[in-house]
Amino acid sequence: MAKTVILGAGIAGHTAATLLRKKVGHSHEIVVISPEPEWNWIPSNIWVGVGSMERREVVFPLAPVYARQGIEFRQGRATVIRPEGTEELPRPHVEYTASGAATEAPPGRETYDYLINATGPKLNFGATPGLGPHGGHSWSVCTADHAVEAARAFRASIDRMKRGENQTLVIGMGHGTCTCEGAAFEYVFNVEHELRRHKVRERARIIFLTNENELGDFGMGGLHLKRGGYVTPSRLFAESLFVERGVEWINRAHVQQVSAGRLAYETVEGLEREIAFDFAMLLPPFRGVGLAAVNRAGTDIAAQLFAPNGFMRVDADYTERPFEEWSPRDWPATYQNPTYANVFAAGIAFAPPHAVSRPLRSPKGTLVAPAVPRTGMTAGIMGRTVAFSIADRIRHGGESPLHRAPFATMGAACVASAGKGLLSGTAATITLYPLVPDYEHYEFGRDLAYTTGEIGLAGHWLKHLLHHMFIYKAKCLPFWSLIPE
Amino acid sequence: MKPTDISSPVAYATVPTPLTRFWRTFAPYQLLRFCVINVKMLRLIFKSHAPPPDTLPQKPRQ
Ligand SMILES: Cc1cc2nc3c(=O)[nH]c(=O)nc-3n(C[C@H](O)[C@H](O)[C@H](O)COP(=O)(O)OP(=O)(O)OC[C@H]3O[C@@H](n4cnc5c(N)ncnc54)[C@H](O)[C@@H]3O)c2cc1C
Repeated sequence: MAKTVILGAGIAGHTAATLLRKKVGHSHEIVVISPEPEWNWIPSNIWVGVGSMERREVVFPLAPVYARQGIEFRQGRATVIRPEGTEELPRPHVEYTASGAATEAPPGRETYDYLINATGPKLNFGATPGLGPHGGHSWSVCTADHAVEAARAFRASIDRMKRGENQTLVIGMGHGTCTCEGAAFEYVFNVEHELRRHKVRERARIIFLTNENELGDFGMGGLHLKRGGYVTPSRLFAESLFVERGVEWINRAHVQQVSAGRLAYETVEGLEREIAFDFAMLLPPFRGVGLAAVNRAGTDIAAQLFAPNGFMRVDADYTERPFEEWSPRDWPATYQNPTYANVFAAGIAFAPPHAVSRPLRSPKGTLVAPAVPRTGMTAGIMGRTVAFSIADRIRHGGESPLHRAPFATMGAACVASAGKGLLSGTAATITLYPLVPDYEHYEFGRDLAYTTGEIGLAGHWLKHLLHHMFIYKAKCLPFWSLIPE
Repeated sequence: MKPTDISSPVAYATVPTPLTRFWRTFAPYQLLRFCVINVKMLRLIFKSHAPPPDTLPQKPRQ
């Protein structure tokens, strides 16, 4: 009997756990260690963050689902990976501390034959002084609880506008190296939509503050779209939307500090400015969750397992190269750790070899470099790929070839949808393929047949469909596995 | 935001015509677009799961 331990029950970890169970049947052990008792469909946190959806609509308890699937669930936070075991316990194992209701429980350990690290990101609010809801001065929508708090503050702002006050709302990225610009993009248009719904739009100045080189970059170096007989950059598509909705923008910016009602930022052009705000939702930069790694001799081997940003090394090419030499070939395909063949990383937890957007620096040397977005779709596909590789090795032996899903040739879809009503909402839908531009195969780096953008109700309906479909799938309700990642 | 300040990017943004805006919220047309977007998404998903061999990145460089 083989035992697989999965760290993290987010999109990647949960996909891996459920698909692995389906593939290997019930004679092998699967253990998921994750700190939260609930699964969260993070993309819908955007709607929670403006108060148009309830928290309970985007989360559900994991324990009953895992009980039904025959997956062991340990509510805890992994702390140390010991891939060679210890003198006292010679099998590879993971140490974790209990969390939630079980906080008083002693630290636990789980031995494994295969390990999947799907711990996602650490929300690194500490990178910018004053950033974030925990003792800082800005809000976030990265977790369902953050979104609830953001919605409360946003509602207070709306109430003040209703009383006749003007308000400045700043939405965007809280650091020069942030990722997930698509989420902030979606949030800003939800905010704008809600303000119109509450009939206070004219009282609000909305500013989108981003580290992107241009609007529409999304950390993917932008994209090109066929429109009206031309191939146009996504910048035109995005700017058009901002102008139409009266949202101002500041790009190529790094937030230096957030204080009560003020934030200071610096741009690549060398400007250093301050903005006074009444409400700010600024996403944090991400880094690895800070797992330690120790070998049998007790030596710290974290540098072997993890890149300096704390994400896990996989089959990518991490050689440092200038932007001009970056290639789709640098990106991983199997997500296997190069040192320990039974260790994999899926989703945000894997260390990207570099960014996709061109990194820029301000005259002071501050790095303004959007990190590559690792979307839900890519996280799901990685979870599936790794699960299938492990299933093959469990069933057919440890030398079975690994499944491959090259990150560079995955697609991405961003549906930025505002509003809840079936006829009152709207959405900008962007699809692109491949995620990492490939100028050897495509003139504009991407396949123009698959790289599209449009605005309308249809995307809004699609976003609702995805919300229900993915929660249904994650709950493992009948025929769940037919829904693709 | 009025496109009067020529130093602002607002002056250079493309703006949808009233007809374009109409199509965006005209439900029967959007129903058609919904089907089209779904097909596009499915193609994208299948392509992401199994990219055609000619677009696969070569072996990692040594
Ligand atoms: C506001 C927002 C909106 C988004 N919208 C979209 C969208 O519209 N479309 C899209 O494709 N993507 C979207 N994304 C991105 C998407 O949510 C991520 O790509 C996806 O969640 C990544 O999955 P993951 O499993 O790698 O990480 P996560 O989903 O973050 O899961 C990580 C898991 O690991 C757990 N964990 C953390 N530390 C430990 C530890 N030490 N030990 C064990 N477990 C641990 C966490 O609790 C969590 O359960 C959005 C992201 C945000 C923040």
